[in-house]
Amino acid sequence: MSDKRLELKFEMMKTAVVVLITLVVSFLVFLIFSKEPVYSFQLLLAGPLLSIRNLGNVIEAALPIAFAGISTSLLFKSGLFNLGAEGIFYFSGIVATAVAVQPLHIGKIQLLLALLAAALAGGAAASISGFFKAKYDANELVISLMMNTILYGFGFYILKTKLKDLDSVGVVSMPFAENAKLSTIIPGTRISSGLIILIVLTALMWVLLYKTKYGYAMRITGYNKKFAVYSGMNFFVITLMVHILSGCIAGLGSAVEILGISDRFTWSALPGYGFDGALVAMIGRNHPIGSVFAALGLAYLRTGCMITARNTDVPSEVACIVEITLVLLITSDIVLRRYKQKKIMERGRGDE
Amino acid sequence: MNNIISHIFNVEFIGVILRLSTPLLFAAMGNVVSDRAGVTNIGMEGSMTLAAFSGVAISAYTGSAWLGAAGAVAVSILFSCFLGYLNLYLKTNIIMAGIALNTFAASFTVFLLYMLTGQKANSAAIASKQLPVIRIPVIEKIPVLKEILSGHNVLVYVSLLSIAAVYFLLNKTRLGMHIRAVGENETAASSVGIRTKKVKMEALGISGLISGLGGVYMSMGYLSMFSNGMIAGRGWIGIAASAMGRAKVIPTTISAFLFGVFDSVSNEMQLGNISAELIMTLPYFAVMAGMVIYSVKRTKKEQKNA
Repeated sequence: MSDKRLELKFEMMKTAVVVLITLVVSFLVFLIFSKEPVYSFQLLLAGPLLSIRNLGNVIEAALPIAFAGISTSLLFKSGLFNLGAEGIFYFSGIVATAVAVQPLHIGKIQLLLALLAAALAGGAAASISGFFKAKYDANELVISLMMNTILYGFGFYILKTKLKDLDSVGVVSMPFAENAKLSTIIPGTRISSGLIILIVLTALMWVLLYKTKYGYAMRITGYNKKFAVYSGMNFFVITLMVHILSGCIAGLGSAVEILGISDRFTWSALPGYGFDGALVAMIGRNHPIGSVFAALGLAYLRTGCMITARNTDVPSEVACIVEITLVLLITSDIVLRRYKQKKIMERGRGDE
Repeated sequence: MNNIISHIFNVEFIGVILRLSTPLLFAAMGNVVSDRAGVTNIGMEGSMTLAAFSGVAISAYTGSAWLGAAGAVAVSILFSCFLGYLNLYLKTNIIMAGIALNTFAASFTVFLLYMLTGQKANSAAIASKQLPVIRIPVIEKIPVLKEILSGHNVLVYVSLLSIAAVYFLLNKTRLGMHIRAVGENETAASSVGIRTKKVKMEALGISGLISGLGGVYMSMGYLSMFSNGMIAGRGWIGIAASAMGRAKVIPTTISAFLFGVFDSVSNEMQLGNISAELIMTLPYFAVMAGMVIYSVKRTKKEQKNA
């Protein structure tokens, strides 16, 4: 068996075992905390499949996480630990809102402008931490965390002073123009044409990463920076470009989220998509397609928990227990480690 | 506007700064210890949240504030060591594990709160205890000093003591020397027989202990209950303060107080019509500037040496 096939077989077995353990753990939790554990558990597992609307909820919830996941996976793949998607989601949302609330009367071009503006704003914001990382090797994790709060502060300030709907009690923006909204593509749900954007984007990123020399340079830089530099790859350019691209994707994801399902901008705090994106990037092994499927899985789990919470005595925060078990098991080395070692040893002996 | 200025240039305001800096100082000192050993305690936000909750829950059940605080600190130590176990022994990326544990702590406390009180917002329904306020005998009689130094929660003083304690630990003890050795060069440290994983675990445990006190302060000193999201990024600020102070005790203390000052000023600003959101970004700008200046200097130096 070749290295790659052994690795793949191992990853698949590991995922299956992890899911199984997670299910057992969540059932145990339900046994402790619920008066009707079996019914609750059934709802958690199958709830999202019960109706088109529920299934729609899964995809709606997965969309922004998938964008954030692809954005973050590009950074992780290139060996950059940047969690800036969180702040970019907020700030780009504000930029998209600023375009979307104007009475422009230019038809659907307004939507395109809003998406473009959000993506550019995201890219510009990410280029700041990208530049300092690329030029001076400044710790991108700390800078991106600082940027998150700064972007939030500025975004909220703009929302409050320039975009706020004065007729409304809370701090929310004026309503979006009809032409600035994404259209719903599946009746009976709120799934927007953002889904199509996501699919196209995922395909593009896959091609970029695995079929072009730029993608090769990114992957090699992430794998071994010194080797990449010695082979003549330009660390400065690669790092800066990856940051900008990742920022654009996060910005676009934010615009797709708010123009896809809401009528106005309502976030009064950071939305959490950045951290979700980091989780799904990690679960999806920093692969764009993997990230999308991980986002779907996470969204399925959360929707299941929400449905369970609506219909039983289990609070929706139970999702966290299931989530953490899943994430920690997948990202750690604990499951099947012995088995893997044994297989590698066996093969080693076979080669002798 | 005049109103705000008179608020800020006031002796009482120094007391406010002290109270708001306390949790940041705990978080920052906790991070100094783990950063020095070469592991950033990304789970700080989570350990503070869990400690804040456990303190309230345990004190309500035992009727003793001190038992509550002790239990909370124990939980925080365990939590930090669990992060260490995941990272050091199971090879989970520490940032991922930290973020996952933080998310977990945030929701799990709400879950337990709901189970205990039937409420998700705060623990007002259970009668938890508060740690005592200390009045310092002699200073209590001196007019201005009294308002600055006396009458704070006991943990405010503990946080100030923790500066000296961490300094002593790192510079005067065997464990401290090991921590610094491992942080500076792990291979060299292990080549002279230091068990590097064990040292890192111990550093994380101490980091959990100190940051746990910060969590306890929030729910049993600063406020008298646990409320959802009450740590509000203070753990991250501790990480930033330590990064800005390059994990040295004195510079990190100064950074933590700097954050505390901005925190207090923006608290006062909220009374006026200056946008608190913008003021609140200032300390983060300061950290960014500090990081960038440090990195630029280091790069220049390396280029010169090369």
